[in-house]
Amino acid sequence: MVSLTEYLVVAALLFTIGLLIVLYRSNAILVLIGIELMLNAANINFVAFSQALGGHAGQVFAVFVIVAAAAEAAVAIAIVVLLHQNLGTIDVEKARYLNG
Amino acid sequence: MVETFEALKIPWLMDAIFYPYFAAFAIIILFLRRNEKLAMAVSLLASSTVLASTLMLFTRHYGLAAGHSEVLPPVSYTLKWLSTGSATFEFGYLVDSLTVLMLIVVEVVSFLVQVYSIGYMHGDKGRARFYAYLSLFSGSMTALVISPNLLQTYIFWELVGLCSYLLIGFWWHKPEAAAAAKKAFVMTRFGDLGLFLGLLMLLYTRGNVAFTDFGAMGLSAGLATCISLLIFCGVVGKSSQFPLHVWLPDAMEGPTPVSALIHAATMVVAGVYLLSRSAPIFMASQTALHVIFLFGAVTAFVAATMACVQRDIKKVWAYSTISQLGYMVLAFGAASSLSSMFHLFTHAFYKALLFLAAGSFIHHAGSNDLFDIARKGGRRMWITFGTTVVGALALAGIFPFSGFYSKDAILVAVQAMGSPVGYGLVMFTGFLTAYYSFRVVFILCRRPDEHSGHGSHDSPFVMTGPLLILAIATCFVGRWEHGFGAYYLGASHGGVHLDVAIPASILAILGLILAAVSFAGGKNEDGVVDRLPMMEIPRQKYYLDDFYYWVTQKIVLGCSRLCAYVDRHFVDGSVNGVAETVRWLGDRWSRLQTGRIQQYLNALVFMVSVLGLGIYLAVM
Repeated sequence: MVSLTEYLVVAALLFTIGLLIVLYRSNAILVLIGIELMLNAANINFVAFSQALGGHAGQVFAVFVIVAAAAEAAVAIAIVVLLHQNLGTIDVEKARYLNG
Repeated sequence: MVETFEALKIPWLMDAIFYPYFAAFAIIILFLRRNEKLAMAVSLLASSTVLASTLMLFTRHYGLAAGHSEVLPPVSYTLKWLSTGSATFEFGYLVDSLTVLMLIVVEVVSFLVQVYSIGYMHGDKGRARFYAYLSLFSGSMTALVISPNLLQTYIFWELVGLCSYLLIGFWWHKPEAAAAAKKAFVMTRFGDLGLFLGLLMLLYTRGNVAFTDFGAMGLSAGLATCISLLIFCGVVGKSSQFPLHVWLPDAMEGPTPVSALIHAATMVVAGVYLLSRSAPIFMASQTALHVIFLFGAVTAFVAATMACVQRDIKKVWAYSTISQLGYMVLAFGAASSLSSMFHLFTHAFYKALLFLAAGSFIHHAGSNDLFDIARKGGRRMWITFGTTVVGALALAGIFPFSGFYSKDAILVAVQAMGSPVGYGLVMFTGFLTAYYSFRVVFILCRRPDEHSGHGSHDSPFVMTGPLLILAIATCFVGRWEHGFGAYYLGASHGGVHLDVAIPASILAILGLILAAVSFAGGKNEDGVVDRLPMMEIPRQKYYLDDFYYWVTQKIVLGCSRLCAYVDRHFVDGSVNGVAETVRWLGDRWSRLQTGRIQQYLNALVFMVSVLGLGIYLAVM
C-alpha cells in the first residue's frame, strides 16, 4: 500500500522539476512541457488526497484540470507558432518587447 | 424745501444736466465715428443743453437763496442702488450752493472749450473721437459734482481720470503723448488708492458715505484725522499737489483745449471741490488742516518757482495751475472753504482763458516756445494777446481783476491762521506769480521778425469768441465776492482788506516791474532771475522726475528682478524639480520591466517562497 506521503513526495518532485524547467529553459516548447508537469503534479495531489480523505471531488477536479490543460496547450501552441512566425525563433529570452 | 424745489422743477433740471453728455458720448461712439461734423453738432447740442439747464438751475436756486437769510440746506434726490447688511449705497443728485457754483464752472468752461475746439481741431482726423471723449469727460465731471455720496464721487473721480488719460494721449502716435498719458494715469492712481482707503474706512466705521451726513458723523479726532488725510491723498493726486504734481506739466502733450478744460479749470480742481464737499470731516481735525496747509503752501511756492524758468508757454501755465491749486488747498487748510472755492471759481475762468489763448498762439505759430511765438508775430494777434494780458493781470492779482479778490480772501484767511512763516511764503509766492505771468506777457510783446510772413491775422472767431467771453468773466467775477459768499455760506463775507491787499499789490507790482526789466524789449532770452545759480533747481524740476526715475529703475525694477529670480529659480524650480524627480523615479522603476518573463516568474516564486516561509514560521 502506497502511503499519502509518498504520493505527495512524488508530486512535489514533479512540481519542482516542472518549475525549474519553466524558470530556466528558454525553449518555448520545453516551457510548455514544464507547465504540463506542474499541472500533473497538482493532479497527483488531487487524486492522492481524494483517495486518502474519501469522496470523489478530487478526482473530478483532476479531470477538469486535464481538460483545462488540453485547452491551455492548444492556445499555447498557437502562441508558439505565432512567436516563430514573428521572431523566427521560439526562444522565450528573445521575446521581450514588453520591457520598460 | 423739497416742495419748493419740486415747484421750481429742479429735479427735472438735474436730469437735463446729468444725461445729455453721456447720451452724446454714446451716440458719437456708436454711430458717428466717421461723421465728424455731425459728431461735433451732437456734442455741442449736449453741451449747450447742459449749460442752459445749469444757468436756469443757478437763477432759480440763487433766487431761492436770496429769499432766505441763511444758506439753503442741501437737498438730495437718490435712488437706492445697492444695499448690504451694513451699508446702503445710493445714486442720485445733491443740490446745494456748492454744487451749483461748481456746475457753473464746469459747464461754462466745457461749453466754451467745445466751441473753441471747432477752430483748434480743424482738420484733425480724429475729431469725432475727440468730441466723444470731451463729452464723456464733461458728463463724468458733471456727475462727480452732483454726486450725493463719496462712493458715487469715487466712481466718477476714476472716470474723469480715464478721460484725462484718453485725452492726454489723444495724439497717441507721439511717443511723448503716450508716455505722458500713462504717467498721469499712474501718478493719480497713487493718490486714488488713499482716497479709496478713506472711503472704505468711512464705510467700515460708519456704514454711510452720504455727504449730507458728514456733519453728524461724530468721528473721534484720531479717526477724523486718519480719514481726512486718506481722502487728502486722493486730492494730492488729482489736484496735482507736491510731490505728485509731476504728471500735470507732462499732460500738456494733449491738445490745448484739453489742457484748458481738464488740466486747468475742471478735473484738477475736483480735488479742491472734494475738500470743500467733505469739509465737516476735515474741520473736525486740526492736524489734518495743518498738513493740508503745509502741502498747499509748499506746492504753491515750488510750482511758482518752476513756472519762472519755463520756455514752453503751456508749461508755464501748467506750473502756474499747480501753484494756484496749491493756493486753493492752502486756503482750505487755513479753514476757509469759502476762499478756496472762490479762488477755484475765479481761477477756472482766467486759467481757461490763458490756456485757450496759448492754444491760439500755438495754432498760429506752430510752436510752443515763447520766444518763437514772439518772433512769429504773437503781439499782432491782438485779441489773443489782449486777453492773455487780462488773464495775466488776474493771475498776478492786480486790482480790479478777479484774481485780486480771491487771493485777497485767501491771504486774509492765512493771516487769521497766525503763522507768520506761512503768510510770508504765500506773499512771496504772489510776487513770483506776478513775475512769471508778466514774463510771458513781456516776451510775447517783443517785436516780431520782419520777415515772418504770417501777417497779423488773428485766429478765427470760434477761437477768439470764447477768449473774449472768458476775459469779460475774468474782469467782473471778482466783484461778485459778496454775492458768492452770501450764496455759499449764507453770511456776507468778503470786502477788500487793505492791510493785506496793499502789501500783496505792492509785491505783485514789484514782480511785474522785475519781469518788465528782465524781458521788455531787447533780444535776451534769460532775465535776472534766470541767471541766479539757485534757479538751476527749479529748472531741473527739483530733481523729482529724476528721483522717481531712480526709484522706478533701481528700487522697483530691482525688486522686480529679485522677484523674477525667486520665481524662476525657486518657485519654477520646485515645480520642475518635482516633475524631474518623478520622471527619474519612473525611469528607474521601468528598468524592472525587463520583458524577460522568466525573471518575473523567478521573482514571483521567490516572493511566494518567502511569504510561505514567513507564514510557516509564524504558524509554528
